Amino acid sequence: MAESETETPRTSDYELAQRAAEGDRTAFEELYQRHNRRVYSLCLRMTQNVTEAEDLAQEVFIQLFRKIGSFRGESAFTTWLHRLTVNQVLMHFRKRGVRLEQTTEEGEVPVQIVKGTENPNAMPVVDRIALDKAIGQLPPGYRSVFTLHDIEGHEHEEIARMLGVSVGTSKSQLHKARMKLRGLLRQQNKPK
Amino acid sequence: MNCEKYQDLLSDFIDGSLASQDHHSIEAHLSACGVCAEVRGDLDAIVTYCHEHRGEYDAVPNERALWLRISNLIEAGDLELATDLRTEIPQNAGWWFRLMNRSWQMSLPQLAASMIAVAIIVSVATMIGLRRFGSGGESAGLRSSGVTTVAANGLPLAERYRQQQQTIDYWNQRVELNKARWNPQMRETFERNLNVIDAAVNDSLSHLNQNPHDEVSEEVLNAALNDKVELLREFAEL
Ligand SMILES: [Zn+2]
Repeated sequence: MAESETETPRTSDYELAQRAAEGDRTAFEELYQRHNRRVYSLCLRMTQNVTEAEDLAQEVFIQLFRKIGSFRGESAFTTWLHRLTVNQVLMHFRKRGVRLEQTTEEGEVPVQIVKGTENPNAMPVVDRIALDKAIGQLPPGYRSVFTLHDIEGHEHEEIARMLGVSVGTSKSQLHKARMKLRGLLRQQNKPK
Repeated sequence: MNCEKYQDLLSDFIDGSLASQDHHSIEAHLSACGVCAEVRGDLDAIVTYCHEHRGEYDAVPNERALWLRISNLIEAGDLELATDLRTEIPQNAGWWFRLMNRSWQMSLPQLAASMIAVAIIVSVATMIGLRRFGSGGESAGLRSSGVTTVAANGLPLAERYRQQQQTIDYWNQRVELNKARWNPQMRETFERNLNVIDAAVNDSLSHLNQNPHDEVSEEVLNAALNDKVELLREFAEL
C-alpha cells in the first residue's frame, strides 16, 4: 500500500502489549480490535458452536490480560496468542470430558475405503458453507487436528505436542478427518 | 499393495511427506487406478481450499458486546485483586471497580445511597455500551437518564421484586455451578460483595415494612437488587 509510507507506522503488537501490561486499557482494547476475529474464528472452528466460541474467546482475552506482562516479544504476538487460544479450547474440551486421542465416536461410521464402482455421488466444488457443515460433523479429535493442520497450517509435530498425542496419531487422524470430510461433502451433494 | 493401502497413504502423498520410493509407487498407481485417483482429487480439493482460504476469519457476532463482557470481567478481576491486596484505587480504574471498591469503606447508610448510583451507572453502561462505551459515561445527563430507565418500568413494587428475584434465582444457579472452581480469594470477594448487597436489601425491606410508601427505600431496594443481579452475572461467568 503506497499511502502507508506517508502515514505514521502502526504501533506494533509488542508495543501495545507492553503498554497494556503497564495498565493501559486503550492499548489492550486495540489488541482486542486487531485480533478478536482470529481468536474467535479458531474457537468457532474447533467447537463449531457460536456460544461456546464466544465464551472461549472471552476467556482467551481475560487470560491474555492476565499474562500479557509475560509476553517478551521473542515470538510473534499472533503466534503467542494463537497458542493461548488453542490451550484454552483444549482445556475446554478436557473439562467436558472430550478425549482428543479417540479415533471414533460411539455410533460413528468408520471411514470407508473406496472400492471399485460404489455409489458415485459427485464431489461438489468445495465451498465454505459445505465445508463448515461437514467439519461440524467430525468428532472433536479429528476436527482439532484438521483445523490445526489444514486450516491453521501447523505441522504434525506441533499438533502432537499441543494435543498430547503422538505424531503418528496426528497424521492418521488428519487422514481420517479428510476422508470423512470427503464422504460428508459427497453426501451433501446427493441428489434428492 | 492394494487400493486400501494406497488410500491410507494419500494424505502423506498430498502433504509431500512420503519417502520418494513410496511417492513414486503411489504416483504409478494413481495413473492406473481411477478410483484412487478420484479420492486423491477430492482430498486435494479439500486441502487446497483450506490452504487458499487461510487467514480468512469469521466476525464475532457482536464484537462490541464481547468487548464489554471482557472489560467488565477484567474490572471485576481488578476488584478481586484490590480487595485482596488492599491497594489504592488506580486512577485509570473503571467505573465498576471504583464504585464497588469504594463501597467497602462506607457505612451502611452511605452505602445504601451509593447503591443507587452503582445500579444506575450499571444500567447506563449497559444501555449505552451497546451503542458506544468508553467515553466515561458518568455525566450528570447520563445519570439522570439512568434514573428514568431504572424507575420507568412503572411496575408495582411487588411485581418488580418478584421479577428481580426470578432473575437472581437464575444467575444464582449458574453461580452455584461454577463456585466449586473458584479460588478462595474469589469466593471471599464474592461473599463479601453479596453480604453488603444483602444487608442493603434487608435494610430497605425492613424500612418498607414500617413504611410501605417510602420511595427512597423502594429505590434503594430496586437498586440493590439490580446490583445483586449484576454481581451474580459477573461471577457466573468466572
Ligand atoms: Zn486404487
